[in-house]
Amino acid sequence: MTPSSKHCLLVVDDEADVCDSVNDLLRREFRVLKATSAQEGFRLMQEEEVHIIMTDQRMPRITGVELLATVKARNPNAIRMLFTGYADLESIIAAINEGHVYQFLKKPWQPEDLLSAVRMAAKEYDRLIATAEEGDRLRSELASLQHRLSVLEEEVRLLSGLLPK
Amino acid sequence: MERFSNKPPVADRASTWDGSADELPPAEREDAPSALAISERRARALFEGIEDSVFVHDMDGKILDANPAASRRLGYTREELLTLNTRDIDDPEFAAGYEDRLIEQLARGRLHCEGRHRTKDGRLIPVDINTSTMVLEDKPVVLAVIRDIAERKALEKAHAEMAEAQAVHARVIEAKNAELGQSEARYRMLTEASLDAVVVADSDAHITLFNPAAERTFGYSASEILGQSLARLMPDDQPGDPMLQLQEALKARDPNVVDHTLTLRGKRKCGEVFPLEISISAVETAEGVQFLGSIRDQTERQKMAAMLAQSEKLASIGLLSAGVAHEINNPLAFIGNNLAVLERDLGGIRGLLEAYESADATIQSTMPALHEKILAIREELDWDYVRANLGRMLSRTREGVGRVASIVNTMRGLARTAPPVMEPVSLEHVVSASLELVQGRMRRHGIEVHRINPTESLPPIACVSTQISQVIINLLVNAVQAVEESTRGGGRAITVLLRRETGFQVLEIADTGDGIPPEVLPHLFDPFYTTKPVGEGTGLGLSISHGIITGHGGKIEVEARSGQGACFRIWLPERTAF
Repeated sequence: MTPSSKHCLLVVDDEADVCDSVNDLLRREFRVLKATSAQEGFRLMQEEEVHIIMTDQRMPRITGVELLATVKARNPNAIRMLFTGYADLESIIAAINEGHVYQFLKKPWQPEDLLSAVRMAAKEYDRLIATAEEGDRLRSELASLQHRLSVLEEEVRLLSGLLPK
Repeated sequence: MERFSNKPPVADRASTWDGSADELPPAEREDAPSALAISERRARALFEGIEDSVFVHDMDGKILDANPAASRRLGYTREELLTLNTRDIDDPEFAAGYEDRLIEQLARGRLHCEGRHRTKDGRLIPVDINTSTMVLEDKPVVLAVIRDIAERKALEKAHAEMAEAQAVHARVIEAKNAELGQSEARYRMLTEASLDAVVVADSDAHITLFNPAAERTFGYSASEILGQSLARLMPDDQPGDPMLQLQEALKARDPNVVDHTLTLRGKRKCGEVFPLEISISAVETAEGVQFLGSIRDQTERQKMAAMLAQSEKLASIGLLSAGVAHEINNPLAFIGNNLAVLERDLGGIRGLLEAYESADATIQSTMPALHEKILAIREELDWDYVRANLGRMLSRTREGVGRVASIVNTMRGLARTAPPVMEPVSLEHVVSASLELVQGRMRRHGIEVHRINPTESLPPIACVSTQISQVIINLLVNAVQAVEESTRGGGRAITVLLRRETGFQVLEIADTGDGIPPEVLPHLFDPFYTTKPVGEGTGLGLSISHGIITGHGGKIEVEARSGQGACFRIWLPERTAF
């Protein structure tokens, strides 16, 4: 991937060290944005096109699951990832089942696991975009075909009017 | 009386008096005059001489005749009586029933009743009346024979009173007996059947009573300890003369001793010293003051309290460590991550330096001063060593972080947030499956396994089989290690015994290792307590096992003496549903 076509990843964790660490690990392959609060994360998502968002579960004021649910509504294409150091599996399982979360990672993660998970997320994003683009292309093709069809039908109608009875 | 004497005996015969008149032969009636005279005289003598009062009255009650006994008893003259009605001599209450009696009298021809007569001077006398109807001068009349029953009544009354007195007496005696029985039962309950050991001693501290519970507690029979000194029941290792102190305290009624509950130590016949709780009270008796000690063996309670404290300690440590674990995970996440970044970037840095180093010769020739400086820094840094060592150091650091992560992960197991799902499982199967996993290691070390199963097949118990299996494997691995490290000769064996105890299934895992030193025993279930070399064990195995077993409503205990091997026992409740 050329530098300009790097995927954009937003990491949200109230601990700045975690954000920095993730940035250091991923910055070669991804454009990493860091946010230490959900508000900052939302602001960055408005300013930039974020492809992957990964967030900590336990943060002041808002949980990662809640954050991802909002993201899903506002930015449905972004791949959502969650990590946590706590064993509060109940809420996480629910979030996964409700489709708010694409990937779940346990803190501390193996850096290799994080890398491969993020790479997979990027692929998933590309697949989604490709599917969406394919859908758009097909839809426009369909629209133009329909247009041509209606033109042809009009021609047939005119021609049949000219035929001797 | 004249009127009666004038009456021919036929009247008698016609009456319903009795059948005696009919017995007279007709021949006797033929020679009337003399026979009549004899009969009349006889009747008259009878009438006048009889002790009972005799009346003749008509249907209205008007008295027609009365005998001397009647006059005597009622205090009226015969002439006075002949002017009276039965109502005048009947007591008013009795007189009121006259009509009813007359009806019955007429219907049956006779009547027997009891009543009361009133004498001329107003005394009332109880009477027994026998009447019969007869015909006199063609008129129906009533003949009444009246017996004074005052004496009989008095006798009856005396009898009744006596009977009542006797009954009252009997009741009193019965109540007294019941009371005695109760107090005896109380006494028995207090001493014989009491769960508390009761020991009574006199003021010289000689034992005068020793109940069955005391026999059980101290191991002495009453017969061998009665009369002995209380000192026999006390440990000898106490400073000073506790017996003397006790005696003085008892004599002085020291409020800290008498009527007070104390925690002391006792000594059993076998010499075992045990904790006890004693309440002493002084009882004044005919033989002088006696001191009653109600004694409760505290051994079990102290054991329970220790177990409870242990469980609570472990639970709180579990909660604490789970919290700590979560806090550690955050920094652990970026430490591990940064190490990976460092490792990766170090590779890049080394490549970069190698590229620079390739220009070494050029630098040396063109910039000798800089080259000197580079050499000095390299020397200072010991660059050759660092270059060789950095990669290894980083990978070891990553390993260390990995170990920390796994310990933290295990610690989280100490406190389970949600109760795991229990299913009915055969404990025997869980034991088999667990043994399977450790079998290879046992074979390699030449350790024999003896399995002892109960003859009856045990019902399944409700448990989380993975957890129970974890506990069993943990205990088996510990046993294997104990046998491996054993320095004493003897069999290299592990015994796995499964048995049933009321409401529980018991699993015993015993080894032939060196046992557990007494100083280690109290810490055995403490988290992070390990006797293994650093890095070999986390010291969490037994404390997690403890948590799992108590979480199942069971208990885990160890019996171990140095040099005799260790035996771990697990009790799991036989419940099939929760």
